[in-house]
Amino acid sequence: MRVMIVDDSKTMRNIQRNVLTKLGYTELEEACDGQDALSKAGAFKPELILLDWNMPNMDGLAFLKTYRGQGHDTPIIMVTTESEKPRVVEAIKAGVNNYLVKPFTPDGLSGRIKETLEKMAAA
Amino acid sequence: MSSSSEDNLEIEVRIEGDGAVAKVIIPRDFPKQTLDASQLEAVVRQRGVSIDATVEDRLQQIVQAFRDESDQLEHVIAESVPAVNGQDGRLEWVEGFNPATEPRAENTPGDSDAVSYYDRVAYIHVTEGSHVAILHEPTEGKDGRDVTGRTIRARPGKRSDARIDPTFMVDSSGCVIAQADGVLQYNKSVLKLSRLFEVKGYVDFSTGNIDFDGTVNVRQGVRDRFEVKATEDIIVGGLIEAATIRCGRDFACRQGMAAKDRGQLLVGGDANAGYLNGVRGHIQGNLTIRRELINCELVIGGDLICEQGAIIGGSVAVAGSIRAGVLGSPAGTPSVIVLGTGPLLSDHIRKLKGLAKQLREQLQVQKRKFDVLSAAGKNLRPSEKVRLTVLSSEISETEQKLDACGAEHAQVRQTIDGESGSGAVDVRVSKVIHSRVCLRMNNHEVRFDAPLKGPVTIGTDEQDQPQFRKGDGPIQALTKVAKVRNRAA
Repeated sequence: MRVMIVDDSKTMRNIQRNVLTKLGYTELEEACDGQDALSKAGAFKPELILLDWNMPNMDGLAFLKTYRGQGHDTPIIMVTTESEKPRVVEAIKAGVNNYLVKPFTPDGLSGRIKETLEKMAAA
Repeated sequence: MSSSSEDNLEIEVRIEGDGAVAKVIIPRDFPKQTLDASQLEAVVRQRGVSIDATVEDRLQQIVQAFRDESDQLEHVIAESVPAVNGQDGRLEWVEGFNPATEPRAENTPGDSDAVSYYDRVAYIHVTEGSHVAILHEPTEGKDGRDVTGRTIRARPGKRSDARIDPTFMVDSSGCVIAQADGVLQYNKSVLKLSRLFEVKGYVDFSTGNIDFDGTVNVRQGVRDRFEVKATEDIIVGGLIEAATIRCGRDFACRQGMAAKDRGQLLVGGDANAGYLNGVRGHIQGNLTIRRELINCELVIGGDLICEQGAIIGGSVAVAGSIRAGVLGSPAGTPSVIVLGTGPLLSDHIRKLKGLAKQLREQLQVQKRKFDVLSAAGKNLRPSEKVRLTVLSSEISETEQKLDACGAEHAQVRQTIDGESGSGAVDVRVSKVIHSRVCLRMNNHEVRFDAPLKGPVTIGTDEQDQPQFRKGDGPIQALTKVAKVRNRAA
């Protein structure tokens, strides 16, 4: 499965990459902001996206709206420090499939990924 | 050639330099008004000079100048276009890979300003995918032409005499790319990568320490305090002083190693040497010694073979069998030989314990930091939330390492316990076992207080009792010739 990690922090990307590698995902692509993600998504064709919210150039929400606007239904998990309920609702309305608030544990991220993929498979 | 009305008033067209230049020479007394461009052109054409627009213009100018009373009577009307010869093919080195200038003579400084002469780099190490040079193809060149229009052939460039070994790939743009890790070699115009690094003389200040991914062959020896590391084999032709030798596979030394109790030998495979003196180390496979093993502290994972030589002094742990000419010395040098895998595994256990201790301390620090930060609860800033996630990930990683360490410890412990008292002992000494030799085997310690002449074979019976046999004689209890102490008791 091809997974794209979109986060401006290399450390966060490494943490997510480690979790994904342990889960057996080896086809991984990283992007440092929404713009970078949009430019890479065409060629990489991700089957799952882990998306940070607050990033320079193009934030996660803007990416989400643009990406969904292009007709992609790839499952997206928002991984962010934004924990206020209105923000979560805003993200869900824009089309995220799941939401994980930082700080998270590796087990927490792993659980959220499995949960999202199971939901998508069942749908 | 044409002429004017008078025989001595002929216009001359001269071609010089094998067609490089064409000149018109007009006699001084040539009637000015009778000279016109078409007449001049006819003379030039007749002489074979190629006429183009430039020449036509030039002829017009000459006629005009002559009519205007110019003193100049000799005019260049055409020049050849010289051929541009092709350029020869060549190899252009990328900076840092030119064997003629690299490796640089200066030393490699560390973090401080101090320069370590031991760290001098003596070879160009190339990693897979490195772009080391550009191979320029020869060019054809461009033909020229002389003043009569005849082609002057350009000399095409010659192919570079560089030959590229398949260890390098040349892409469509001429980039020469390494296909593996190795040492760059460019000898007699052949470029190749070698997994074999040859040191023609000694490993000393002229070479610095060697740390090579592949095999290292040292023609001479290794000087005091230098290090030779190789992921594959190490072969040394001469004497190794108090140096460090570390290889992933086999080690061979035609002479020996006189390590003065400071040198270290760490071998991933088998080792073979003339002699070892004062060496500490670990050999995973078999150790073969042609002469003496003197005052060494070694752990050997395989067999110790010293059939024509002597094992004198020191402490040697051997997991496999021993074949020796002599054990100990006539002077009664205390010599300890430990038999079985116990020492190897115990060493491993020690390392695992050390690692586990280190991991536990690390985990404590990480958890303390996590607790301090998470005490802020919901008031965390975004950067602190990120930091907590990082800490959480680090804790998880440390816990996993600790678990793996614990599991390995338990497995090794189980192996040691399972082996206790049942390790096969096989010691064969062809000449003599001298006094003050101590053999530690399974649960027993055997001390020889008097010499025991060979050939002698030592082993244990089914009840783990030490036995010996002289030549083809009967099997007897070792207690008859040595003091046997039960270590478990």
